[in-house]
This record gives sequence, structure tokens and C-alpha cells, in this order.
Amino acid sequence: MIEEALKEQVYALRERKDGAVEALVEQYTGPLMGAAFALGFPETDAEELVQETFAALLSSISRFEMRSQLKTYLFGILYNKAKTLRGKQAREKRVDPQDPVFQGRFDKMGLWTAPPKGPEDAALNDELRGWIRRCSEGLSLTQRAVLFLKDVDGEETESVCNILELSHTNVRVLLHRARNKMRECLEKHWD
Amino acid sequence: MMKMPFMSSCKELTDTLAEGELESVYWHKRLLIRMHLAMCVHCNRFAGQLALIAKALREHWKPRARVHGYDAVKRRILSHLKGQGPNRC
Repeated sequence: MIEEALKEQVYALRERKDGAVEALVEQYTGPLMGAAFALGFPETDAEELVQETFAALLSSISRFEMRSQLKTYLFGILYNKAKTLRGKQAREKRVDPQDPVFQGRFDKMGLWTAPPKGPEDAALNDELRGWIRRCSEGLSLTQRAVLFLKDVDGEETESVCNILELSHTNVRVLLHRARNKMRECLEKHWD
Repeated sequence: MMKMPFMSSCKELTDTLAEGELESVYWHKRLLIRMHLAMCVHCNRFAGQLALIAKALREHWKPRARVHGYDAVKRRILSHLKGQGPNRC
């Protein structure tokens, strides 16, 4: 069942009704800029990416079948454009170098042999924020996308699958790697 | 912590947490996970650190939108979209 508000917005965009494009830009510039930053783009590149995303949406709006929310559709376009901008041809590795590091922390029974170090919780001071920024730079584009959509935007896994056109298994693996990479990187700081 | 019958191992539990699957498991499994976290200081630390990372990323990746407001960005984007020609805007 397509929501009335979504239908109205899409029909208004298709017909280029007065104010429709302005409303679209007003509503989604902030969230899209946030996503572009999360994907690692500096401000000027992020703006270009978002601009191209809106342009691509307007070009393809007649083909948008409203099976997803507009935000989901926009994020999908943004992500694909980000991949093109980055010239990302290589697929995500089947085995991330971090995988054996994490596996090595457990014995055959699945019990910790090298338990996590560092605090269970900590105040978000400038030093920690700096480490978060540095550690997030070690993530791949897709790992960043999954982490942003799940941990920052609070999207359900199914929605992430639709946006990034990935299987449920792929999203789980990417999220696992992204979160572990961040944690392992931060642990070096806590050491 | 010793592996208890019916309870996930520490490895299984950390995989469930890192994969974001905690909310999708059946309620009885979720209860066992919460019991494990109550008893295992290492897994509890791991879970706490994942939550801390998520909190920090929300601060790091989202606040610029609130600070900037993006009025100038929106104006430039609109100006570009409207200048694209009759099929665009």
C-alpha cells in the first residue's frame, strides 16, 4: 500500500509542480550531505555528489515505482554515484585482513583467549573523537555506508539491503567487519 | 566465563552483536544473550564498546547538518537543478 504523502510528492515532482523541487531539496539535502560525509567525502565533493543525486532522481522520477520510500531511493542513488566518483572497481574482499585477528581472540569453544581491552564506556572527549575519525578512514566505502545506515541513521537491515542492493548476508558480514575494524583500531588507542 | 549449556559462546554472542542481529533473534535467545552479558565481563565490555562507537559515529557524522543548516548549499543545488533545461526542472 503506497502512502498518500509519497504518491503526492512523486506526482508533484513528475509534473514539476511549483515548489515540488524546492521541497525535495529542503527535505533531503541535510540527510544526503550527512551520508556523503559518512562515505568520506569532503564538503565540496559532498555537495557535488548530492547535487548529482537530485539531478539523477529528477531524470528518473517517471520510472520510480514507489516500492520504497523516496529517502531509500535517494540514498541508493547517492551510494552508486559515490562508488563511481571513487572509481571503485574492486569488490569487497572475501576475507578482510581483520577477520583472522578477530577469530584469533577465541578458542575452539568460542571462549575469549584475548578479551577486549579498554573501557566499557567512555566520555566522548576530543581525543576519542579524533580517534573515531581516524579509525573510520580505514573503512571501505561500503563498510562506511552500512555503518552509517545502521548505526547513525537507524535503518532496519532490510532497508539497508534495498538501498545498497546487497543480500542480508552481505550486510551482516559488512557490518561485522566495519564494527570490528573500528573496535580493534580504537583498542590500540586504549592500550 | 565457562560455556554454559543452551547459552551462546562468547564468539557466537559477539558475532550476533557485531552483525546487528540481536533484535532479530527469538525472544528466548535474546534473554539468554542478556543473561550471558550479565555474567561475562568481557562480552559486556565488547557490547559497551560497540555502543560507544555507534554513539561517537552519530556525533561525528551527523552534527555538521545541524551546525550548517545548509541554506547556501540548498540554494546552489536548486540553482543548478533549475538551470539544467526543460527536462530537469
